[in-house]
Amino acid sequence: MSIDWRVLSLLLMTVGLMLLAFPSQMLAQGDRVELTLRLLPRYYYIEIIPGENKTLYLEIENSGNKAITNIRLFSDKPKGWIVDFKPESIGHLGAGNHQAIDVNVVAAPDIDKGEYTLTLIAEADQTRTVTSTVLLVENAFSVWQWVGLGMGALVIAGFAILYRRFGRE
Amino acid sequence: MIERVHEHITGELGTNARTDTIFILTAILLNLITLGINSGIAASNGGATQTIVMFTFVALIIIVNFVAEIGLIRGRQMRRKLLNGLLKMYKDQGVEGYYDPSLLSDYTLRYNLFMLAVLFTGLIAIVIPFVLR
Repeated sequence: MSIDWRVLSLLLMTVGLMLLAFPSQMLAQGDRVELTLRLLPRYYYIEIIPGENKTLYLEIENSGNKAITNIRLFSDKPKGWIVDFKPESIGHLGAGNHQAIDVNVVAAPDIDKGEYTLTLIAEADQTRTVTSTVLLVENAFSVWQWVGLGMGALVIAGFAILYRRFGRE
Repeated sequence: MIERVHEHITGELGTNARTDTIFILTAILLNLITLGINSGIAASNGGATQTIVMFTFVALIIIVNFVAEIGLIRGRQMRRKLLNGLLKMYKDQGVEGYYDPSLLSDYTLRYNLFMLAVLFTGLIAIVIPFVLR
């Protein structure tokens, strides 16, 4: 059997070029470990009242092609906040599977109003993933509002004194 | 001579009205401008410097409003005295029937309303920025 070296070299050159151009498609698919954390869209930039419980719905998905084990969930939260996950950990998540997680958030009761970032972290034996959301603290009756009201009361009292003192005909 | 005194009193009344208008407009305008500035500062979540600026403006509001209130109280008293003199003069001249004495109480009410307007715009200018903060 004779080998046509010209055809063979042309074939090898074509394969080489394709490898350079599309490496991921050409290479045999190996084990891919990919964990995705997704917060439902309406839970981004939501309002939260200090001291009250707010539940966020999170979805964790194994978007790779290998099972992921021992997934622990925790958060990077502002000081004084309480963040609980239900469930707190997942023992095994098969490839292509996903699971819903409830995240109960309680903002510190004495916190000032404003925007706060909450980072949610999922750490497994094989990988780690992070997502974050911005929570808007509203209706917080902060010390500044007391200061404002106090000054308003002082002005009214001052006016009443002025009116009585200078208002005598 | 009585005509000169009459001119003097009416002139004083005119000056009094102008002075009171300046007090009212200055106080209300300052209150509204400061309300805007302090609300902007409060919404920006600023630091210590901005808080100091905010409190400085609050002190300015308090002082200007108190000055305006005292000015209006004095203005009201002055107007009453001038009008009482004018009424007495009209009585002496036998023309008091042309001037209704109830105008005196109307002026008092009007002055009280002006003072309330100044006081409440001042209160809003002080309290609202702190509520926004």
